[in-house]
Amino acid sequence: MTSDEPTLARMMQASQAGDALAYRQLLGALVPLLRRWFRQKVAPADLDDLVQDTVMAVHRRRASWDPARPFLPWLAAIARYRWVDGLRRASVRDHDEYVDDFAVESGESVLGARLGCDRLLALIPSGQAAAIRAVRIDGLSVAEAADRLGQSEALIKVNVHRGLKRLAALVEEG
Amino acid sequence: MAVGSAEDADLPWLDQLAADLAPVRPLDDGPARWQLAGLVGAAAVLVALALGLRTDLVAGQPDLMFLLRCGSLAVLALVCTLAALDHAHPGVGRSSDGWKVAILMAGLLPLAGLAQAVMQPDHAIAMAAQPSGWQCLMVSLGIASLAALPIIRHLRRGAPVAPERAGLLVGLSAGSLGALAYNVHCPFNSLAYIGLWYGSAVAIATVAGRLIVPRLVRW
Repeated sequence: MTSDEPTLARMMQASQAGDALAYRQLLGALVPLLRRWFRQKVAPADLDDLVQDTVMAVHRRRASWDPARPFLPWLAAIARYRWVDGLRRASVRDHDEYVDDFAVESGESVLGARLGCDRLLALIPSGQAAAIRAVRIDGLSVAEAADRLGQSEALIKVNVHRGLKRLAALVEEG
Repeated sequence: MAVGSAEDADLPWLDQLAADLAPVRPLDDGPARWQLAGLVGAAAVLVALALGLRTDLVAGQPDLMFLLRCGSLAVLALVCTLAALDHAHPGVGRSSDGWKVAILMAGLLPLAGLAQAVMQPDHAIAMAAQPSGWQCLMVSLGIASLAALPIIRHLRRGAPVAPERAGLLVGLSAGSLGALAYNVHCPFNSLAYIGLWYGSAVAIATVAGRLIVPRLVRW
């Protein structure tokens, strides 16, 4: 079974009807999908929490998916909303450099494109995007980020704060 | 991608979620639309009973300015209500700007009122001093507060991912619905009056929606 749009939509429709088996299959498909996608978007220490948070959001808000509409844009909107919320709450942690193994399969590439977080980061000023990547995604301390980016620590903090506000606004613009 | 791969085999919480699954009915905007239609219709009837219907409506010959005002408010209310309710269903790449066009269209009335105020300042001052203007404002906002409730409840059942924009649309929708219901009584046909008092009602409801609603629908 693949994570293509028709398959996921079919499983979600069955899940809304109360089919636990289809729902378990759907969740099983979503977890690796979200994990691979989020891997490049958050610090590894925050990855599982964000995936779980997103799946729980899917569970709690599953009635908000309209079977007449495609599933992946719905999932992407929820994942992006939780991602930005996670960025806001993310604590700064040390971690190994992230692994660049972003899988390219039909469903995942569609999801990745629709989540569009790299695109979102490209839409904010480069200094803010770099500060967010360094502090909130790569997990550097403010001092390390300042050293790496050649910005003062105060500017790093300001850029992270302003960048997250802009990201949240961009997410809301759809 | 294989389903049930080793990557998720050790996630008992997924099994628990599946075991706890209860059927849900996909969220339908229809009931909220009908609730709003019924509520605003009932409010208009109450306004007519309590304050009286416009004389031109009683005579069956509505003034053209009434039709223009009523139509503008109805279109604004319809478009913004549909857009607000749709925010319960998230989806990347589905945003519609139709409500912005409706705002521009409805904004022509206050703009025309402003133009009239510039050209006829005495008339504008007289319209601003009308005691019934405050009644227009307060009744419209009172009905708007009630009209906002079904929309907010609908949004809370859904998954709005743009709470600020949803709040703005709730305010626009509720404000225009409130003004629309009061409109059946209001005897004034002056552009300056409409621009000031109706414009204020919709504007205040919009600002209130933008400030209050996001915290009610955030999840």
